[in-house]
Amino acid sequence: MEMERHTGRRVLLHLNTEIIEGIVLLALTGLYFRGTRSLPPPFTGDEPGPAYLPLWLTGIAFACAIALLIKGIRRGGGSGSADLSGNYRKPLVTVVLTVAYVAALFRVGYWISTLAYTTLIALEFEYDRSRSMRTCLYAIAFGAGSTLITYTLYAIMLGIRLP
Amino acid sequence: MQLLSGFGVMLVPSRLVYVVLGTFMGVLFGAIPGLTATLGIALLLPFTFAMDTVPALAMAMGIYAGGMYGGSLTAITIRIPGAPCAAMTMLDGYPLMRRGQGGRAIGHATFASALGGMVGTIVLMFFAPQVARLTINFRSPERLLLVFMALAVVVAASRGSLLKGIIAAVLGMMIATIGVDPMLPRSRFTFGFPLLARGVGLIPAIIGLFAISEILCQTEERHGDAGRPPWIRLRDVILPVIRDMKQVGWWLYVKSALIGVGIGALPGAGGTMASFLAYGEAKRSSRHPEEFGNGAVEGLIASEAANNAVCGGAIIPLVTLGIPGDTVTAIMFGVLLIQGLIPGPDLIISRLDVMAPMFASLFLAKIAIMLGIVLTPLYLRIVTLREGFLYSLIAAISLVGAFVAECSVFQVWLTVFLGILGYVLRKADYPAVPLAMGFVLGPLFEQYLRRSLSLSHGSLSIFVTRPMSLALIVLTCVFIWLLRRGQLER
Repeated sequence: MEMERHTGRRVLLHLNTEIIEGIVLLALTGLYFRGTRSLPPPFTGDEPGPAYLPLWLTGIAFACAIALLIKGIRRGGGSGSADLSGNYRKPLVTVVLTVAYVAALFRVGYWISTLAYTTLIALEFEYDRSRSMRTCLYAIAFGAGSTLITYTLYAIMLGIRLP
Repeated sequence: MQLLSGFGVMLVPSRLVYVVLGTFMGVLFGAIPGLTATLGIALLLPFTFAMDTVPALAMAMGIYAGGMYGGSLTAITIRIPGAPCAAMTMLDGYPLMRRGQGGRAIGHATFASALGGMVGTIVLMFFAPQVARLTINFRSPERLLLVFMALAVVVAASRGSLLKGIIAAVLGMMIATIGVDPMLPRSRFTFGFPLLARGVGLIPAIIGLFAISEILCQTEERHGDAGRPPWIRLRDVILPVIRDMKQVGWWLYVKSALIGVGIGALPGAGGTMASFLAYGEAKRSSRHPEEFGNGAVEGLIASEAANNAVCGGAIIPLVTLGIPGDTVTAIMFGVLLIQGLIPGPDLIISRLDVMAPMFASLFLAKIAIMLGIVLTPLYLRIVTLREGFLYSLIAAISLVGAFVAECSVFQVWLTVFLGILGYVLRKADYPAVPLAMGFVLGPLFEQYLRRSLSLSHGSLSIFVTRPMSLALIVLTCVFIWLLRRGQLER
């Protein structure tokens, strides 16, 4: 049952990756195109203005998005060029930790936020080795080491004031 | 000859220390699986703000040179190439290791890397001024076509789908258009965020795309012990090499290095292709081709001499034409910009005071690699550093570095955003090199394009009516055709 579920997830992720990518690219291109519309015209009629290159880029991105969609539709379901299977839990946790760190860095300051962040990142990597108290102690030691080294490099050696 | 004055500038302990430190860092970044010289130079970027020009460039050269060599250490000892370009080294290095001749293999890799790198730097010193003199009269249309050639060739050389390569380059250029227009005092694509008017900083972009996305990719993999490299005695590294070198002969080193430097000068080619071609040539000309893949010293020498000579070759188009050929030189482009130097034909002629020490640093870094052979046992201990420590340190240095470089919280958020974007694109098989090149070269491309079209009153015919422009278009088409044919054959 577990295996079936896993296989099902893989198939779902493989399904029309090109179509999904094409739609995302189309949406991004649309957003970018909206930005070009507010750009001023050039000073004189025969010279390119600020919108010249962005309009070319919009055109190329639009053509690529259509090409991806056509490729995806032709390929049909069940296959795709990119293998999107994988364990996304850990990268997601890392993203959440990083966002929380950036938010905390300027509120609680360098020491507490960096120590907490680096310890948790170290724990995430060390967790695969063993899940014991010793791993936690290692992670704290690694976090403390990373925090101290980063401080030494930026604040002591370069004389930059950290938050 | 004036370029040799760089040695006089660099052979001072206070400057030499940056070369040695950079080389040491580079070897570690190259040797530790998962870390690369690209990441090493990306992490160096925030520090270069606070450094003088010569030390900053010297350190970058050290990291570049060390990173190319470092990959061979783990390729030979634990069969995991620290850098992709060391994959060919592994073919013969690891069988030697299994036969109990690991020291011999490392010794050959070290000497070949150093000698190959030195040949590459000599070629760089000889050719760079000639190429600069040849291209100094290039005007906006030709310069635009050079930038276009770099982008097109990198897209054509990227692995996998051509369509995805084009999309990656276009996305990079789109990101580069955010912020103040290069020719008018007007901001673009702020999408309601006034802070976007400053644009996306080079350091947040490089750190996000290379460091943060790398951390995200690494968390996904299962980590365990990659294997501890065995203890190697120093006398086992040096003595067999001196014995073998007489048998192998100097021509193999020079030939492989020349292949490397030639490949390095082509945009989008890089160390992996150079070592592959040099290995093939060494096998073709060997008296014992059957030994290749089973511990042939010649194969190992060819691969290492070629991929280290690439450094010299790759810097030629960067400093003479202003076109980086790979990610490392694209970031090096950033190091030069941060120091107020605009890569291009004028640079080598007008700023010889900086370029000469930069080239000398690359040569000295290769000597540092050779002398650093005494540190081999130490390198092999350090490469087994725990991932928990490595990646927590990289994460802290990256994010704090992004803040330090721009003094803007918003730019740190952009770093995180671009890190996530880089990760998503990598998962979907979009190559990172065209994305980075599009971002770095985008502003130059736009400036040259608009200047050219202003000259021609908006007519695109300016690119085909000038003989040099036309020649560059033809050259670009030839490169693309050759690269795509090579990709299809592979």
